[in-house]
Amino acid sequence: MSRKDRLRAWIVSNGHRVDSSTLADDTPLLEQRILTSLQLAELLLFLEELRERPVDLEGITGSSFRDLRSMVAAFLPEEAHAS
Amino acid sequence: MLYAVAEKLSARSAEQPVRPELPWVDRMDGAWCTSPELISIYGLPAWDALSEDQQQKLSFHECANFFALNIHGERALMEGLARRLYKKELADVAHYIHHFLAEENQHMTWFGGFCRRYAGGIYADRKLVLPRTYAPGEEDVLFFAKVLVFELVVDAFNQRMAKDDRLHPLVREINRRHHEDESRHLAFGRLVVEELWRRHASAWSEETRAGVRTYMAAYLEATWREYFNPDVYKDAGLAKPYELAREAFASAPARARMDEIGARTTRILRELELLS
Repeated sequence: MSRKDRLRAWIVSNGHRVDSSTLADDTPLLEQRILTSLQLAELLLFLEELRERPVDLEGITGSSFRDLRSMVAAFLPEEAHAS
Repeated sequence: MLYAVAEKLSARSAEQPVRPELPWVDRMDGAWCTSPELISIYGLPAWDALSEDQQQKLSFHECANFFALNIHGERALMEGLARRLYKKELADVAHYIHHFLAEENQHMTWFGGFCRRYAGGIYADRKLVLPRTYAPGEEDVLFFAKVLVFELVVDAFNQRMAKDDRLHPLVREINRRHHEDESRHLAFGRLVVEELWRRHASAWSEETRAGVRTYMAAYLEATWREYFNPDVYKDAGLAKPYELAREAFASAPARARMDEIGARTTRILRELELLS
């Protein structure tokens, strides 16, 4: 399973009112309250584990978490280039 | 009521003698810095597998994490309090808010002094607050309710560690001093939440009131999660730190410990109608 697929699975498992058939790369996760701000710390830990290095937290904003595509671009850039 | 209590608390803050500089030491080696029973993986096989030296090393990094959580929490608290200084609703208690801010600033010098001297820095804050819309008064209620949760949880640790003579005297003293001031802050914080809830919540929809309770339950859970920091495990030399943090947080011994340490927090939130 690619890291992007693992991230997708995390969102489906932890998000509200979402399943794998409705989650697209551009589904607005925060706007549709699929994810809440209180879940972002846990998500950051998961992203660090996926990328196997810490995230530089300064400069991170809500837009990095807007949708699956934004997260891949912000946190898993190698994956973005591969797809 | 709030005004009268704030005046009394201001007087008590003013009576607080100037404290001497903390007894800083050159190094913080070979000492317990967190009570073993309060360490995040206590009671798990990963804890039992460590030698006493390794357990002490972990106790140091857990202490540095605890102090970092205090820094991040107090920084958010100071930002929020400063923004609310002399706002109409809180203008009568502005005098006490000045004391509150001064005391929080001093606490941060203790926590920051410890982390920078002995841990080489401050563990990162992973919390992100995103802008959203609020019902009238809801943002203030949530701000003070979150402050109350943060302070109740850290105070439970402070009270225990201040009395634990197995710990390094500097660590005990920081915990003792912090508890001394926090008892005033908690008395004030609880009353502010009560007062703001009374003023605003009756005008909210049932959906908003339920939303506040759902949010506070999630906030309490997120607060506890920060005590299980993979950076700590990494620095203490433990394997698979992210996995360990997740598993420890979900484990029965940790859940039982959080219920026990957090009993006062949960009780107060329920009394304030902020938790179902």
